[in-house]
Amino acid sequence: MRERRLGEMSPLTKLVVYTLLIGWSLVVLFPLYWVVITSVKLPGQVGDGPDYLPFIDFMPSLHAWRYIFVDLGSDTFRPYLNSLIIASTSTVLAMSVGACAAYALARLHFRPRLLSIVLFLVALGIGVWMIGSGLVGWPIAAASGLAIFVISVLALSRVRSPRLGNADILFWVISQRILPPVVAALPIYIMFQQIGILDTHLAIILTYTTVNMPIVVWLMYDFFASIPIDIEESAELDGASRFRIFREMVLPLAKPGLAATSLLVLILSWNEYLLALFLSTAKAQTIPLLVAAQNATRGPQWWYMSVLIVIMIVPVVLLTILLQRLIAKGLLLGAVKG
Amino acid sequence: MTVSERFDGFLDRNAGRLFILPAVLLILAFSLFPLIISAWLAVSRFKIGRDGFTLTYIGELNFKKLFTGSQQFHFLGTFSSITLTGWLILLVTALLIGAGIRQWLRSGRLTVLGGIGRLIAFGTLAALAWVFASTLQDGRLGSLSTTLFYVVVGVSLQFVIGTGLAFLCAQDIRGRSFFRLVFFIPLMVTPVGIAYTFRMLADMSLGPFSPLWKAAGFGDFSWAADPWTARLVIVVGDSWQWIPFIFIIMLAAFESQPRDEIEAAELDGAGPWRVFRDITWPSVAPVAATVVLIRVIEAFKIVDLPNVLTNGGPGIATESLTLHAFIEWRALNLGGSAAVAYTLLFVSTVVCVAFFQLVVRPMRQARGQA
Amino acid sequence: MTVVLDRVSKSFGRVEVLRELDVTTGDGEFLVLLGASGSGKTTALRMIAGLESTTSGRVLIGERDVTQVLPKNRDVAMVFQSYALYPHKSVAENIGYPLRVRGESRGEIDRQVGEVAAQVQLDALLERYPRQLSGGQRQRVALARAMVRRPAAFLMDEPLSNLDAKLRGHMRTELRRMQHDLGITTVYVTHDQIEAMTLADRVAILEQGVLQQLGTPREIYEDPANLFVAGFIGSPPMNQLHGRHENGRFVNEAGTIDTGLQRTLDRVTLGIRPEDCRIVDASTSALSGRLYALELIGDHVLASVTLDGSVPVKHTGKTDAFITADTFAVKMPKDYAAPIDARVGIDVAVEGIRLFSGDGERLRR
Repeated sequence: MRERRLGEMSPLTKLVVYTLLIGWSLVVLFPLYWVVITSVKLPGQVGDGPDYLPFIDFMPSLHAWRYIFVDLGSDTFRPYLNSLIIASTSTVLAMSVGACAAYALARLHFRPRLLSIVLFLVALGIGVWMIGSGLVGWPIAAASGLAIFVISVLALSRVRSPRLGNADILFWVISQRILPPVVAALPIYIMFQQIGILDTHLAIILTYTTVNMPIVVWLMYDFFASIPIDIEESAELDGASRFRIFREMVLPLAKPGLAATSLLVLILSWNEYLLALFLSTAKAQTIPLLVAAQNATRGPQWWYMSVLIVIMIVPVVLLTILLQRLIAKGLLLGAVKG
Repeated sequence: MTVSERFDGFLDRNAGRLFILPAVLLILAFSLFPLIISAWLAVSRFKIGRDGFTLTYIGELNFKKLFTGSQQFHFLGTFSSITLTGWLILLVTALLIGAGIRQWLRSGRLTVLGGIGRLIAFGTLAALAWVFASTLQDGRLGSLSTTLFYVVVGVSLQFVIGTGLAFLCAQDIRGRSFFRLVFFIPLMVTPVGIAYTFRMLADMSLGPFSPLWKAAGFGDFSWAADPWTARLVIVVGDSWQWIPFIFIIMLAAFESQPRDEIEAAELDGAGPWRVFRDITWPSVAPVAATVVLIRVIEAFKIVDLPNVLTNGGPGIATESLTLHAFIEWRALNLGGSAAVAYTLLFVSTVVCVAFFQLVVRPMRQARGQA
Repeated sequence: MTVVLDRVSKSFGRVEVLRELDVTTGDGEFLVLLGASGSGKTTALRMIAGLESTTSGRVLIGERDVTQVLPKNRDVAMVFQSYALYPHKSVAENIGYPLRVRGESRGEIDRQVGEVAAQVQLDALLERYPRQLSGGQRQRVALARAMVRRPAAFLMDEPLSNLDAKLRGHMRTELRRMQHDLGITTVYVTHDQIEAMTLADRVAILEQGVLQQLGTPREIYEDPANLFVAGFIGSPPMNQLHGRHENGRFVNEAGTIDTGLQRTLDRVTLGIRPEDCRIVDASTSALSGRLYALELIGDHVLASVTLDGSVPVKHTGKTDAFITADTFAVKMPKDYAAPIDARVGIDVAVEGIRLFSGDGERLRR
């Protein structure tokens, strides 16, 4: 009997392991396969019972595809286009805002006074109460709240107060993810309705940016912190301003992290459902909404729904393959582990 | 100094504030401010009038309706006697709370803040367990209990399978990058798409598994008509999507185990079980705790699947808290909707903070991390 | 330009890192800040650069008070220990970066970069990237980048510590030569006393944030201000004997030494360098003991002696009983030989004696 090396598995164990892994691969791939082949089935074929293999069990046909793209052309393209515009724009914004904030938190020192924060919340509360009590319109309430805040901070500027640090701010930003979107969705709906931008790209883009930005901060913070600081100090001494250092030194060196994070945020924006549900009805309808809406009317028509689902998930699957390659290089995981 | 030098200096000195300002403004405007408005909504009644809408202050009436009033069946469930499973759940909860209290007393650092925090956490946990156990009898759970079901059962299932797969994949096998890629895909597929796909897959008569169902005698059974099978299908769909998340992170954790320690232990004669228990698990535990926490945070928000897969049905059996809030909103009951949403916020925050303080932190400290 | 640290202190929270540091570097001078890690030397350097703020005190460059001025406006160039080269830029782009920031024209940048690169023999490597260079080459790029700015002062943070020993010696010579040719005031931080002694016009020795002595290499070697400086400078370190002093003699269990100093002290430390001692016959010597070890250094033999009255050592063979002997070092000619554990005597040269009070301060006549 051959001596086993340290760590080698017996043939039986190997068989079990591979079987389980391949089994799970089938579990992963089968639903996707099913959706794709269903999209090329005719109504009658679906109604007769399950057919598994194209060309063998049934003849594939592009009937459903033609219907969705030609007959319903604009009804399909509009949500698709909306999703593209909204996802890409909100990703760019979230990355910009988030990367700047992450860099600031990684390199610069903040020591906000607890007192100022408390005063801010008090002023905010007063502003909200003024709006709620219906005495004044919201612009006046906002202005008064702001005035109260500025005056009280200036008046109490000499008062000593404990200070918070970068870690606290970072925690605050990242903890926004704990917030269930539905809590904010209602007031945002009312807010946007008052301003009159409901059912527009802008509304959803702003909301998505806010929701995704904490993820960007969380992931990019580690990246920026791991760039050797003396490179930045050297550039500082060479005369570069902080913005220049960020643009010319930090961003180029953080490219892999930026790429991976962008892909992640893009995918999340594309997939988002609840907020779009609240904030759009017809004009800004994104593709998940289209699918959900069609589900109500065309639910049993698997072939049409499958086409919609295929065109909805193909882009993200492609992006996922790209993202996975980046992640395989060990990126992003440091954020979770550390 | 010239004007441009002065301006340059100003920019540089305030660079930090300028960098962070957009992020802070966004969070204030679209997160903090709405949070406060939501609180206001939760204690008001919303009425559509001729010129717009009115909000009248009604105190805790919205909450009363949910917890003890006419919407109790919708929110908490239909109460009846506690079943055997119910008692088991209560027992487990009591044990957990007991262990938590004992750990705190043993730690030697008893602070007022810690005490209050634990009081809230354990109290909430006990209340949730009691509600769940009491509504189990006929399976008529409210959205709160259903959401808990998704979180606890779903995350447990996902953790076990995900970690198991990661462990297998971390072994000395070929094709690891292939498996990594394939296993990763479901995580990013649009949840609405997953919902509909699983609706098709689960169909007893037309779906791909129908020969199996027919052979087992379930040919005429409709999974969507039974509350528990409907919930189960949602858990299955949710798990299909989220197991990859646990898998990826745990795989990385397994791959970054201290090789030296393992080799030293094997040379000292330790068997695979000992190695796992003494070296692998301690190094992997903090990551496991963190990944469960992240997953729990997300699980509370579930809405795509219940909405599209089952439309909350049968009846309200699969409604999650988010879906419940949405339905109230559709019915123009903004006050009730906000109340449901705030309860969700409270429960998920308490659970997450408690989990972090009582599980994640100690594990990381044991490992020597902050 | 002169560089002045005027009573500069620095604390991080409650930890005091520098206390009232007062150093003036003359125009064109090469000043070395020497100390162990944690002595505050790097902090002092970074405060000159503006990368750290002062808790109190002023920093002056030329006649200008730059304490509140941003680093980029101080006109100083720094060579970091890790060189801090920009990995995504070529050698030429690295060297030219300060000029580019200043807004110089393309042609001007290329010209100046070429000039400086030739001075440090990098002209063949201008298109390479840092990861393609050896340690010594990278260091020269860092130097070139500092030189191209023609700053008011050079600041160097242990620039040679990442090089191997042979290269280090060579670069030391080159650095000194370059600084001499350029005539730019240089403040140089190191923990290596040999670097300090060979490079500096003057040395400032720091220990735990406090300046121990500021003087030329010769001064700190021959005339140490306190016991710390005496023990820090010199390899092997100055021998130290603790005892009493009376009637013009130093007395302890190992023997007596005539010093000629008329003072009576209960606690005194006598310092004497190994090269000022000689091993002689034990019967007539000032000190006596046993020979512990002999090491052939090359041009001399270093003899270690355990003096009478010091704790005897026994190696028991157990791994945790590793005690090093308290030995007295003597430099002997390279052909000196004697059996280990032989009884020997030591005579000292009176001119080499340095006396220190009980709290470490140097006693001068």
